[in-house]
Amino acid sequence: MKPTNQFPLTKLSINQTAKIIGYQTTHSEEFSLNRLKEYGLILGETIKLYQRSLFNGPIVTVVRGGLVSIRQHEAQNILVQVDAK
Amino acid sequence: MNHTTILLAGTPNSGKSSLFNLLTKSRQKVANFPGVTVEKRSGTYFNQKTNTKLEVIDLPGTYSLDPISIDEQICLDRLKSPATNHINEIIFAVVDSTNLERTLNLVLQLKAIAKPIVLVLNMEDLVLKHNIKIDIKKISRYLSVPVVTTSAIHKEGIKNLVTFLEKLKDNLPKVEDTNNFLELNTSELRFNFIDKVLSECVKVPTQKDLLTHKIDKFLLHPILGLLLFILAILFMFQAVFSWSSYPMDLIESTIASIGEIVTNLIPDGFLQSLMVDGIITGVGAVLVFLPQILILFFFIYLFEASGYMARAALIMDRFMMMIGLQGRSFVPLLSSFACAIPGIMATRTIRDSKERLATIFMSPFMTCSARLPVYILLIGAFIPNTKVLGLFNLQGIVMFLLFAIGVLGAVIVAFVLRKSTLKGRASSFIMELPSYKLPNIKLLFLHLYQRALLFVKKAGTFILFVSIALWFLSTFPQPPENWDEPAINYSIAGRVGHFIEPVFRPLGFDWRISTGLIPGFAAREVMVSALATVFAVEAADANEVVDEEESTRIALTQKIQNAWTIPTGLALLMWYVFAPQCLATFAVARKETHGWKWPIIMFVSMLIIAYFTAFLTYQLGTLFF
Repeated sequence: MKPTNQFPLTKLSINQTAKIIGYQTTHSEEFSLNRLKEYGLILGETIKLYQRSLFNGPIVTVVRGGLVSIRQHEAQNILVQVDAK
Repeated sequence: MNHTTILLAGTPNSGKSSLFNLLTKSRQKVANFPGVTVEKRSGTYFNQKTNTKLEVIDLPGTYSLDPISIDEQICLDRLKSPATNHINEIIFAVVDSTNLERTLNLVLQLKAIAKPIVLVLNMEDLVLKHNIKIDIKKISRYLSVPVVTTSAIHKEGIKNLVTFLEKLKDNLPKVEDTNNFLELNTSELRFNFIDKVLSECVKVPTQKDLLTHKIDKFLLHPILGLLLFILAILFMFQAVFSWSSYPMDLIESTIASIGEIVTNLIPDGFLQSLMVDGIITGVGAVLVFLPQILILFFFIYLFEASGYMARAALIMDRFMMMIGLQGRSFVPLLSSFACAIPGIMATRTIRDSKERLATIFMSPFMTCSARLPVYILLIGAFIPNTKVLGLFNLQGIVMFLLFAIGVLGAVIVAFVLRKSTLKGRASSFIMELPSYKLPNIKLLFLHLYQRALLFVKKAGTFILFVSIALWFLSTFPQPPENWDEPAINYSIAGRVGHFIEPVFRPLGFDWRISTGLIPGFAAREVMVSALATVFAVEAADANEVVDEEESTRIALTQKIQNAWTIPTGLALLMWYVFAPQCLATFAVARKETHGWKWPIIMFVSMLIIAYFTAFLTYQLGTLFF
């Protein structure tokens, strides 16, 4: 079983910070992992949820000091871990 | 002597294009379109004092050299193409230096190309403002590149760069240390390398861009952000119409007085008719719309330069997804409200080829500025200037409806396409949102000046030519003595108009409209000049008009009001929403889709939709009016 502090990026709450720990490709239809990495979403990188949008629109995250928007179905494939308190 | 070419490369929002504009000023070859640098632009840096002359090429912004979209491919191809003899090519990698941890990724990839490279740390002003400390010497050593700092938002800020360029000829950078960078062939390796370099060279205060964060609290708020977005778009269209009324009146009256002066200067006859009815009326009818076009481009530039355009794309993404597209399609479509040509070119940023095609298909459905002359003329003639519910102007409502019908048509077409021929899966939408910036007023005006020049050039060449041609066609051959109809009916244009009239009769179009539609297929706005010329020539020749001066003073609006019924006017409006009346659009579509297949499909389907909706409008209209 997955530890409770690991979940898809979409489950983060706003301003919550986490670490990227893995990718899964089951949900996605077209998952361009390389592209995500070009935008800085590499393994071990810190990521923060900046903003959500209406009707499950794309989310905005803070990665490496920049704002990166990602569609829900892609964000679901990014597994993050928050520090256990 | 050896030439030197500078290739400006960088991520979108690195300020690269502003730098290009400041360096080359008006010495540019390709006009730039708002939204994105879609084609590589070239210009010349020239210093009279030192006689330094350099070619500068502005490449499309790119995140990586692993191209997915077409503009990235263009960039990569140009970077990798070997330099011809006697030309020194130097890559200037322009980066936003407030965000080196992201932007150096591209620089490391550029390092692997076997060309000399210079790192341009742009946005120096913001670095100082945010109290970021950068050890330039160390960065230069780590990356083994010369480093220049600039700030592209004002002239003073490029002093360093200019000094550097002046010294370039005696001091050409060399290709250094490519091998070490070839090993950094994954994003992970590159970002890890960047972290190592930056930890030694850069000190960033913990909170750096609070302002962007504060603004985004409103502009990216799920509900408030959407409302503000709608307000911004409404405000833009409102401004296009209300701000333009004074300058348009001014241009109109100037043209009218030029016409009068010429009428008085040149004796009655063919020359006077050619000058007044042909050239001044024809070109003037189009020139009037310059203010509206400039206001639209002003807003698009403002959205782009401030950093709002990316947010608008983000907000639109969810809605574009419903018709199988994505937020990136929004920017080309917004540009298409000014002109479909830059719009279609801007689709190069869309990575998925099917989404791109669908967006190209939608672009000419957006109400471009060339339709405005026709809309304004017809609305002015057929829609009463009354208030509805004591608040809204009926003419304004009709104008809004025409825009909305165009958008609706595009949405339906895109939806159908994405469900049929262009079926595809939901694509990815990864995009970087730039931080907010104050747009540079000087660059804004340079941009508007370039747009105005392009438009006036078109009016002075193409539209001038069509106006003269149309005057000839509607004046010659001259009717015989015993001809008792208007002389224009005997002319070539009149005959062609009468010949094709039956095709358009079910839409309520008379021979004059049919005549105007022909040159209108070349460019929409020509229709107005064509009608102006046809009516002017007709009136000037008609026997029943006693006072000739009186006839020229009657505005075109009044003439068409007398000549056509309301259903005809409405049907013509509907025709103009959908009809494929712009050769240049299809020429660009052919170029962008590499073949005639898509432009032909576009042309035929638009023609069918236009004919059908105009037919329906006319037939239903005759029941009511």
